[in-house]
Amino acid sequence: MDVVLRAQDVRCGYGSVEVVRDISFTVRTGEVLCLLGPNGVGKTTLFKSILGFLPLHGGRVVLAGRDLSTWRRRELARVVAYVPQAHGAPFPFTVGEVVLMGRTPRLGVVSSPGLDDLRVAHETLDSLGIAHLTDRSFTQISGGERQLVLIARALAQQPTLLMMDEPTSNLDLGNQVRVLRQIRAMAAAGLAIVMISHTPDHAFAVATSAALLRQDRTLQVGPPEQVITAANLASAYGEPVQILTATAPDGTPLKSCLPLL
Amino acid sequence: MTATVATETGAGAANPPRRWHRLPALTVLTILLVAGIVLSFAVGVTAYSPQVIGSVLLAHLTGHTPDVAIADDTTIWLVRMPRITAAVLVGAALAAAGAAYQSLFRNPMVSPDLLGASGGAGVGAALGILLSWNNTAVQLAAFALGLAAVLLTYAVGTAVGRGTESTLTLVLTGIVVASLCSALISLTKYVADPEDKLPQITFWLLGGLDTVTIRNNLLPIIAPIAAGMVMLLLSRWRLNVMTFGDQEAASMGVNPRLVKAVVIGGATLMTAASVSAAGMVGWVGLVIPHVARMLVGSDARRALPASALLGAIFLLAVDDFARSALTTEVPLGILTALVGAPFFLLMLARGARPWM
Amino acid sequence: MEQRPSVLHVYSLNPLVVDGTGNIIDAWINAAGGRNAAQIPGRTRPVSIEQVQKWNPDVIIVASSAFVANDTGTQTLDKLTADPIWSRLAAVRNHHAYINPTGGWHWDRYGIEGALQIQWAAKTLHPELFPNLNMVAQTRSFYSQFLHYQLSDEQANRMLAAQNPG
Repeated sequence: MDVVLRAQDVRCGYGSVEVVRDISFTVRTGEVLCLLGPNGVGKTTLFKSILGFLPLHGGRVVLAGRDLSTWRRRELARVVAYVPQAHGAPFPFTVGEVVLMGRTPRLGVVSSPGLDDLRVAHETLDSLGIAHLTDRSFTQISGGERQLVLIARALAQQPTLLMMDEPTSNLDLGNQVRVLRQIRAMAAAGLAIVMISHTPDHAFAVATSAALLRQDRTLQVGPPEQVITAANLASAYGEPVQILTATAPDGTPLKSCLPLL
Repeated sequence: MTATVATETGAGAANPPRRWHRLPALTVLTILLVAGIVLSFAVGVTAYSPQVIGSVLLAHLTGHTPDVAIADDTTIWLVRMPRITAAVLVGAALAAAGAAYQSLFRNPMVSPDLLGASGGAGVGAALGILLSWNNTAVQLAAFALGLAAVLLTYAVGTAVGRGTESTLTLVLTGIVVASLCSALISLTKYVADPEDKLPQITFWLLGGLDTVTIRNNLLPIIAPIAAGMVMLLLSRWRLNVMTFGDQEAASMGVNPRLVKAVVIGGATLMTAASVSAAGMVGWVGLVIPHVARMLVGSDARRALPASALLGAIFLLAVDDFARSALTTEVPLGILTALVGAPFFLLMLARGARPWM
Repeated sequence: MEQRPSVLHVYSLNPLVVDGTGNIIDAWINAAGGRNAAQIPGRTRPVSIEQVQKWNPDVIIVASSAFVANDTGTQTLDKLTADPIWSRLAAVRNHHAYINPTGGWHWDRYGIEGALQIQWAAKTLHPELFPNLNMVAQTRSFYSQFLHYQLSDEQANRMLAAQNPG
């Protein structure tokens, strides 16, 4: 499998404040890396640095074999797509229009999407099973639908790496399941995915590797079963938890994390 | 089974008309604008038939002397033609600049004077009148100081904001600069000779197209308005993306700083030029984009031209009223506020909040 | 021209503002044997050039407040004569556009020189009726009698041309 993203001894932060240091990990095609860790530990800072929103303080980020600093904005957006947390919008764009915006990095600097772009947008909506939303207003659909639309917009960029910021936050159980199922399907289709999550269960469900960022700024990376243990979570979050195991009707093992109150 | 089919048919029938009615809206607005222009030539102190208007316009455009009374020729070609052209240009410019600003600043309550363009232009004009400059110099001063005020806002806002999300700083700096301009305007009014300079400054600030002439007022504003319009239209798709914020826009390959610079530059050229020729004409840039978005949706590819067309139609209609309703001229800025403000409230009351 | 010519008193050219009825301007126009072309109540009323065309005044009197920028009255009249719209008005075409004198104050409004204004306007509107009225002499005698100030001929002439008497 091709290495899509490699972080080497990365240091990053806001302005002159350094938030995390000595971070290293690798993400290959078809892999889902789930980034876990307590609030304020620097997950978002790391995430934004990889997306190029914040300058690196040190180390290297290599994307598809090229150093991040050598990518131009538009080139980068054809390889890396960003899925923000579901949010509203100041204007009632239709869902179709929002997804069409994902075509922007594939357009000329002053041009607008054409028929081919429209086709890609429709196919993407179809593949996520939300084609019926095409003409609905983005501001009037539910939070779960919005999250799927933002995923569709990112997919319309036809990227090789998807950066998802807490894709299941603020969603009801059904929507969480739908989004997780999409994440698994996208990885199976060959996308590399990095997602931030606050739910270890979701890492068990979809991640091929988990990365746990602790208060002491150290990052532990590995298979979910090795990283997400009761001991590791207790030391990272400072509260006791227990990992339960079960078996799904089809025989796959299931794992879940419960708090000990 | 039957229920499923019915639902699908229902959804299918509900969706296509929305798409279907969108494209012709621009065509309908264009036809309305042309009709509005013809009507504007006809109405006024003296009413003219389409035949007279047609023969005068045709004669001038083909380089002949029109076969009508000299007074009618003067009214149609020298008085109404520049005034109508100015109303169309200024209305289109202010509305398009407003639409672009609302997208760029992700706020439907924004008007094109947000960063101080009108205030700066007002200072320029007031100062020019105070110093007894001629009309061309007053208009140039208004234009130049309108640009300068926005440049000041942009420079200070960017310096203070530093970070990537400097939009809020920019807007707050704009409020400071606009307020500073308003103080400077008050100062010029305070020291102006109450017998001749003060009324001139007051009339200028109230806005109007009554003294527009081709050479003095119209020709200087055509180039900046056209250039600004081109800059906005070239940014039309990127403006859509910018409504999702700098970071998401950047993640979609857009350079937020570049788009901001181009759109602010274009909108400022248009606003400063408009204000320099027509004075302080408010509300057009705030209200018209809302109406345009209600008609054609949020996509700037349609909302921008629709705003321009609607703005032109609106200002044309208001100016027709300004010059025809009473024996005296009614200041344009007062009329646009009297029409715009209640209309805006009406939209709010009816729940037609296009941003929700 | 009718017995009582219609007179438009222009307060400002840009914006275009004229004086209507029911004020001291209207009063001296009537006293001098004219009638106000601007049949709208009030002074300093903004109007459109179309309205002026419609009124088509016989005489246009331009107040010094209407002089644009640093132009003199003569330059203002020259500009009116050269202006494509104003030059087509009968009053301008027939050289019946005049500068309103200005002395210590604007003669046309709210000052003691209103007494001179009536005489000046009467002679301007009806030169044939006042062949012996010498405005320079009248101005000098008025200033001497009421303001105890001895004007030179040149100073009086400058006032009549709405120039600073210096």
